[in-house]
Amino acid sequence: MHIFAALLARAHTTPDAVFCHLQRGGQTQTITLSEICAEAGTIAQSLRAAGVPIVLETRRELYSAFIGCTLAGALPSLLPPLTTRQDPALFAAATAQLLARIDPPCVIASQQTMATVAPSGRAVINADTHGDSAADLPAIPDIDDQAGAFLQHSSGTTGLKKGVRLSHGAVLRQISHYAAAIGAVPGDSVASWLPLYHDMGLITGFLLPSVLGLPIISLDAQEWVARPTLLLDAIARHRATLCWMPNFAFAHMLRTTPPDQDWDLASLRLLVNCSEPCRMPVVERFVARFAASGLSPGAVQASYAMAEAVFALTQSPPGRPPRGSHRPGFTACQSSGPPIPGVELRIIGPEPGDILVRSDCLFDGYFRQPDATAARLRDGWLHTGDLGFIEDGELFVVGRGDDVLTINGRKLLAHEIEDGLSAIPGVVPGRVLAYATLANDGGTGRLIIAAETDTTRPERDTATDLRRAVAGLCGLLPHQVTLLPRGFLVKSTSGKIARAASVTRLQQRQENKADAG
Amino acid sequence: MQVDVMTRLAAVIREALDQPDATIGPATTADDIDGWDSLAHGVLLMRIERAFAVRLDVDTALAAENVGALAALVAAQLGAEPV
Repeated sequence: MHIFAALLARAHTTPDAVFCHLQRGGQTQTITLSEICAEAGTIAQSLRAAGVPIVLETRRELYSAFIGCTLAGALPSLLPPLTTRQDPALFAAATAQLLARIDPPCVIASQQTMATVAPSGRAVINADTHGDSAADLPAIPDIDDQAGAFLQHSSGTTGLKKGVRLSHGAVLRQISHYAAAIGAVPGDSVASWLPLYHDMGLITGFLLPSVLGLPIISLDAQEWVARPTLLLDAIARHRATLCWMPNFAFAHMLRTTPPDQDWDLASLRLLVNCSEPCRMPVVERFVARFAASGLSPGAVQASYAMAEAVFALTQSPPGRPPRGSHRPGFTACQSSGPPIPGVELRIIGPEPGDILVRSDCLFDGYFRQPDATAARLRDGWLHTGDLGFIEDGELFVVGRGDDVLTINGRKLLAHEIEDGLSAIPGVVPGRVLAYATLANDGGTGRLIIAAETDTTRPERDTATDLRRAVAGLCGLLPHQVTLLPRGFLVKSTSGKIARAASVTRLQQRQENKADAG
Repeated sequence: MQVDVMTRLAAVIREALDQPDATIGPATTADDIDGWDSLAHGVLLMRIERAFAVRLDVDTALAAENVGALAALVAAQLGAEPV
């Protein structure tokens, strides 16, 4: 069955039902099922080629172009548009690099995103001049379950993103399993600010509601970052019941919500923390802050998900308060819950160990990258690269494989140390790197702490506090504490610290100092 | 009026971004100040709106090319308020 068969069927029977309340620039545009499907049909008529990237802002045509491409069998993929702080020329070059890999016959863009795709030299379909959708509703294509539905370009820097190829059957099986895990019912609705070019946004903010017939309340990611309360306004206004967002978003909302402002969030029956290691301290503060707004602690849950499995692999059960681990040293980890139907989990090696997964909705492979596929998918098991452990049948994800530091025979999680040092006065929050270098005798790793500092305190005091805090966190004294000017550590596109690149930069700095000395 | 807004706005930005010594003038852009990353937009917008008791349009505020343009947006909102 086609992933949009149910959407098209509903567009025929209830054409005026709401597909999406699209909120942009303070205006709300309500799009009906018949409107979005007719527009998709118009786009489908002009396409017959495979592998069509779509570079559009959060707007109506983003949805219709994607649906239209799948109707035409054109294997669409959503790529990020330029954001305000990115260098346009560099971004266009990175996009051209990615397009060279996908090698598409054409690209769908808008007047606004045209400059991003122009340097690639690809044929462009301009969504702004594509004509109105007075067309009839398209027919439901009869396709094989194995047929490719779309490519998902999830992680990595722009130019090097791998295209996760997903079939119609895998997507529909995932949505069926996940709907059971979250207990989705008619009457649910999804509020989302997540960008659709990310797997979490695409699945939870578009495909799952489209398949299940739930209205979408769609916000723009950049607007949300600047005014996070937009999400709370939207949930209250539309009585939304479901919402997904990463761990950092919980912290960002806590930081930017005026303490004297209140919302009615009682409709929200599920707010899922996902796509980053889920942290109990943040979630508990969130629950406490919004308790007076009617947010039920049992609504705040977590999921472990990845594009290679369409989306969710686990889900903590709705209705109970967020659950932390009892394992010493890992009590800040939030449970991501048991596997959803159709999923098997294995942990390899001493815990926290490598998470391996098997399910009936895994990807077909990375688009035109058989070596990358073989590295991740072995004997039917997906090697996730994440580390975790299972406690009482529930998965706790603690970080990435490259996040683990082995010091004096002990495994330490870099991001936990970093989290623990972030609040030290003088340290710029979130701008700490903990890493290990091998001692000269190769015997063990040495723990290095590098922290960006502000100018509020004497550096010596900050360094002293850092050392003491590391000792308090893990019982080890760091080999070295390096204080850095703001902006020294390298950031990835998602705003996290790029570990390997930052370490390289630090080592170059050390060498330069040694040369100068 | 605008000079006063500019002075107060610079103080709000210094405080919100934790940059007490930053030199901020009308031509200053986000790239000139450490810590003015994309998440900082959210913190700044809230602090500015509370400090001046105004409501800014998100798209227009994000598109402001420098602090002077941001000050003009704030001043326009203040001017629009009934006395």
